[in-house]
Amino acid sequence: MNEAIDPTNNPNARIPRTPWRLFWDRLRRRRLALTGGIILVFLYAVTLLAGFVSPYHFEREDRERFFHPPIRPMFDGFRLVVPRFKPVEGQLAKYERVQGETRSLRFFVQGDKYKLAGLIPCQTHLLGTGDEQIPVYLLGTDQLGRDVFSRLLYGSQISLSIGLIGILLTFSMGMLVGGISGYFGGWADTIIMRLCELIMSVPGLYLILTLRSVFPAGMSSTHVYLLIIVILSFIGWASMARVIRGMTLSLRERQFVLAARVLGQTRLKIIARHILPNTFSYVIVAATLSVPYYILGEVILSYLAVGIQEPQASWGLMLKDAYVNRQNLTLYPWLLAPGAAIFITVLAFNFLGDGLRDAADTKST
Amino acid sequence: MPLLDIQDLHLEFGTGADAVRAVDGLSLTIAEGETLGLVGESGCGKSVTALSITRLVPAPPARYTSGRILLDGKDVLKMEQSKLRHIRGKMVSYIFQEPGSSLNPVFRVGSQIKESLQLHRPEMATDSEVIRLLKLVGIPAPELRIKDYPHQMSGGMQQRIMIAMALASEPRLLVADEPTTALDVTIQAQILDLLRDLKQRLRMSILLITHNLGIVGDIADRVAVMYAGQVVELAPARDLLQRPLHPYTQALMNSVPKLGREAGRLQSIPGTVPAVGAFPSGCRFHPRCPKAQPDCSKKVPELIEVEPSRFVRCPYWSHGKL
Repeated sequence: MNEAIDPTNNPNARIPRTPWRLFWDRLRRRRLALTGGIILVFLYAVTLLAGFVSPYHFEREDRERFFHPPIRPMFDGFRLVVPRFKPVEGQLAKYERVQGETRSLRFFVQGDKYKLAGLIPCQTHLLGTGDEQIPVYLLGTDQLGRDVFSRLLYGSQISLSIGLIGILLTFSMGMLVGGISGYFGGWADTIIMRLCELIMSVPGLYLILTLRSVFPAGMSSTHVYLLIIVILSFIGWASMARVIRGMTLSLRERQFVLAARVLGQTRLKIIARHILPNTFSYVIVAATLSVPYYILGEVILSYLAVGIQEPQASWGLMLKDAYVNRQNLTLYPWLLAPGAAIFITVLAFNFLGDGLRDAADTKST
Repeated sequence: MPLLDIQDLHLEFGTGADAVRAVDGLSLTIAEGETLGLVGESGCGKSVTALSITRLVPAPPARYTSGRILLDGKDVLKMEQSKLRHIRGKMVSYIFQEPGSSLNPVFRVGSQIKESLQLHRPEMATDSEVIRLLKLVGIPAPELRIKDYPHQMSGGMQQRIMIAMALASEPRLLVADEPTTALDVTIQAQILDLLRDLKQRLRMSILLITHNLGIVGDIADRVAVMYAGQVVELAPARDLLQRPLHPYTQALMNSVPKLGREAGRLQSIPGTVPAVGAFPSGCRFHPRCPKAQPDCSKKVPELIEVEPSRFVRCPYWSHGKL
């Protein structure tokens, strides 16, 4: 590991291994973490292309087919075909197959309009039948006849990004405040830390509800979305700031901080350039492990009916709609698909976070 | 006018009855281009003095009760923070004992040297200037080395990087606080050679702080020996090494092993350096002094010029001989 060979004598003998490189080498050996990482990359890629991957628009309602069970494409020879279903007369939400009538499943089919990655207007979908009478509902439909699979994908845009933007806010705020608090010390430290304790001592759920009730109920989805992030971050930054402060207290006594001071560097730059980068290995791990908290936070807010509003889709909102009563769940279990999505995502983040923590620990092998 | 003129510096930690005096009436001068060695055991106030030159000792708890530190004629102790920042690293640069911990572990060494350039000579903050500095401090293959992280270098290399950072601003005074203590003997010699060479080429003043009398003779023009917050002897380096006057300096000399001489037992100084705040009365060295007289514990000795440009804080020199 230690290449103590003089580069001037033998330039090939020296393999420069940067800290990041070492970190990656250690991470790569952890299967579970890597699997989690790959799943997350896949999920986020799909999220970015949600409009394209989903067969329908999330608001599209099929009045004839609510609570439709999942439709599985079948093989007819070498073609993938979608069978046709029709409602059973006189029975609610019962469907039977119409024998002999199928449509082949087609790729890159024209359908509902959407904006790719929220920017490019587009109406090509990855798959579909192109026939309104023979739809392909991979995960069934909900109480309004909306495609659960499509809503799941659109919902992931909200549920998955809330975590990322949330930790971005929480951590930048926590690092800045914690860094200042720890480095400056004195009364600034006292005031900031008491403020953190104040925030942390209020039960989170009530704080969420109080903060939410300050704002009007009939806000647009975008505003609610931003509000949720701000509320969750507002609660989260305090504990982050405390940890960063503790690390800063120890880092500021290190000699390279003194070396920066004797260079005449300003205090804020010493914090930003010399102290905070040394907390990154911790921060990255903590960030990964706290993303699930935001995803679940959104679920809780939706359950309390203060989250994302219809007709927008988010995983929390979909779960809430599914759980109107227990009968609903036994009759239409496919409505629990967002629960499975949350489960997979949270697990993937935890696996990845665990692996990152091990890899960041330089004493591990 | 000397570049640095410390006059009667008193530095205390704490306040009121708990106050302990770490530096007590210290006076030093360093002329332009001169190298002054500051020698003393651990805890005698060397490093605090060095950091005081740019007022880097955190205050509070530290308090300057009297004295002046004139840097190029201006009193550092009365300067505003914003002005201090221009002096730190620009007029006065520092290198420290442990180069490994003085470098930020998460940045490449090239960018750390560049940070120093950006602060003090922003127009020169280029890779080519960094490479020139690395060549100046004798780092082989600097083009490859600027991309290294500190942990990829040896201690000697790291200290050279620190010196390059210190030189980046073209300082007039380089404060080297035990620059070789953490290094192997062979590397020590290389670093000292480098400092001597740089001093001649760049004509800067150096304040070399060390507890090792052996290395000051190599490089210093004058030497000040500190004991318990006071200068006890100040003399040209050669004179001091050939004929130390103060009993403490003599004892220090006897405790340095010498090559090529018949090996007798090394002499150690009995006792330990008194803790800051618990200094003995009278002459602070008298409890450990082999030549102590009964009234040493009563009279506080002054620093007296006993021979031209030789100062000693020992009462018996004022009477001629011990």
